[in-house]
Amino acid sequence: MSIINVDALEMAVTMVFQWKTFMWLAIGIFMGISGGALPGLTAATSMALFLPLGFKLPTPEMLGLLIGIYKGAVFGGSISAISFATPGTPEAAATVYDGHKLMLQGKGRKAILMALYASVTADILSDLVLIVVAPLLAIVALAFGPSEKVWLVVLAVALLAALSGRHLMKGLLSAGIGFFCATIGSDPIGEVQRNTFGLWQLRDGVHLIPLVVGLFAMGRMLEEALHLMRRKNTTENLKARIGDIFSNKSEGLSIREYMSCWREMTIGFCLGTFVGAMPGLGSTVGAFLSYSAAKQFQPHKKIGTGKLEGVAAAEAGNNATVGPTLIPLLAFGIPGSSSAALLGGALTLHGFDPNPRMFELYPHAVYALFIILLIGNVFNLGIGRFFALLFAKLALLPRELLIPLVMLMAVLGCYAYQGDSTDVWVMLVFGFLGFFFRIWDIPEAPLIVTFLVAPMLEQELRRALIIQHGSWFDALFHSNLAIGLAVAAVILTVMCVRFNVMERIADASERESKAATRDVSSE
Amino acid sequence: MSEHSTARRSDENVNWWKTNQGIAVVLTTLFVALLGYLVSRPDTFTPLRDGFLVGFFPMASTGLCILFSLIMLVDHLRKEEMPDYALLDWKFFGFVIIAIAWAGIFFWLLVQVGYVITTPFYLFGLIYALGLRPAMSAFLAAVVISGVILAIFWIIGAPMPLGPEWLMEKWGLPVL
Repeated sequence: MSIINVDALEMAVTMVFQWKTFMWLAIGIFMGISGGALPGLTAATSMALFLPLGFKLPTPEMLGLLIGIYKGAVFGGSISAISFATPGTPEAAATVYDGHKLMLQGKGRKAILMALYASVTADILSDLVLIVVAPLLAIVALAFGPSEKVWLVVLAVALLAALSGRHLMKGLLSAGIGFFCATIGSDPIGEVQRNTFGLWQLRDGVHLIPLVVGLFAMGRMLEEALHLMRRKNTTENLKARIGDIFSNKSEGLSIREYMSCWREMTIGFCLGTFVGAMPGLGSTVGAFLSYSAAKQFQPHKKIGTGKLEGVAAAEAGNNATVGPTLIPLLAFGIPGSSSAALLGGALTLHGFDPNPRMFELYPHAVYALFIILLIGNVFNLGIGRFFALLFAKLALLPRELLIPLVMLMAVLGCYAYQGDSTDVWVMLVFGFLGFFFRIWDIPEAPLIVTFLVAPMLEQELRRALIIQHGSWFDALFHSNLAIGLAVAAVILTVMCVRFNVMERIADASERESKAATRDVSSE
Repeated sequence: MSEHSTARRSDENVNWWKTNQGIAVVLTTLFVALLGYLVSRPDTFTPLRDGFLVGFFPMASTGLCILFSLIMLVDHLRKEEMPDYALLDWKFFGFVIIAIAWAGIFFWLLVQVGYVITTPFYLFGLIYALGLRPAMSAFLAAVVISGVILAIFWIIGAPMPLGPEWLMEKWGLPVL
């Protein structure tokens, strides 16, 4: 297999360089930054909400829309983090520490621009890592047989479960529920109906769109509604400050200031890229790790006291995860995060099943994805730069309007997907489930990822058993690689639990957060 | 890592049913009932061509969920600090049930009588319940949002029942 298929690359360029693709990319970035700036709407929520629309668009336009939303949302969270000390998305929480202090010093505009430039810089570099690494890993993955694939899926799901939240069992439960949901419909080899609860409407199984819209949009909005009913929005008294950000008196960011943060951006890029490529960790962890590392390695810069360096490290750290989170998806067909799962699901709906052979079977689609990822950064920079004030104001949109709007779009989007009422009822069931996931602190990512990879797991396991004439031991431990992957799955999961990795990261984040809140309120 | 996880137990004032152990009891009960249902279905034990039972994977996944719930039930003996899920009380639980039911009723009516009549009322109900006052502002907001969303769906060409079929046909208007 050659590394670059020139014909496919030409085809991809032709597909992407159309005004409609650019239009949907711009819409995606715009919606993503808006969603990110609105506390309560995460990247996954916005992507899930627009997935039914993406299904109706041609592939490049769908990729433009979803990638735009993803990139935009990861940056957009920093706008409300800096403006109101309320991160629009969880990944922007680390930006609050220095960003909001800069805002209080009258340097809000500088902080937002630093966040934008650091985000785009790290994003471009991490996209390049994806473009180089994913095809190479896919070549390695082609050597995997059924046994190895089974263990690879187990390894990814175990890691995802262990690293998605504080509690391993909750992550595994989420994965178990995802596996169960994937068995509804018909078995993937014989097409025999099973687990339909006697409902003919479920004979085709649970569709991806109602599942993700229910979990990520309806479930989250129900939770937001409860928050709204419990406490009044505190952004009221901050309205006046927004105007200050972009007044003529407010300072912009000089090239010298941007360049002076190169060390923090490098730390953010390196750690964010590593974290993004690991299943389960995600951009929130990327931001916190980068911020903490920058603070620790450079104590003389006094990060945490309202420094641009702190904003640069956190924002580079979270945006550097955007490209690499697609590495496991494109190389092995296993999404490493909710957002990657949503993008993978969208590709599947368009007939491009993510797997290691993707580079052989539909190289034009992969190249189109790469090109859109890179061009998306330019759009993110332009739209973020020129509409930042609008996005900051948008963050003041009353929750009383936002929550019903999202709920309405969830219902209508699921119905518009294929005009089938069942999808709406399924979405409502998953909305209810998603609400309890949020309330009970059960991560959603293992559910959605396992739901997507379960058919592959089942097929490969059954294939391995057929090859090994029904011997479970031979099917599972057919080669040294399979044994190695099995051992790695066990050791890594045990290590994550033994050393309480996620708990430590969460506790460190909480400590930082409390310190920042204390400092901000004292100022 | 939602913000609930930050709300930790204060030893003397915690409702057991709001802790991980309480959740584990609820989930274990649900999954055992689900497994019971699967076992009671005759087609679960029908063999497939490769020797697997039709219900093997559904039962395996349910079994795993029971195992994980049971481990969660005893996990506090290892180290887990129990979070207090302060949000979860009957009043809010009732709100969630009503919100889901409201969406269900809205959708049922949407299919029967169309978007134009149902959507502003659905939105108004939600906006008002969430606290936007006065009622007239809430209703106007509902009408405006309904119009904008309809325009978006019309632009992207997504099918949406606009009004009652008999009325639309009588007036010679498109149903979708």
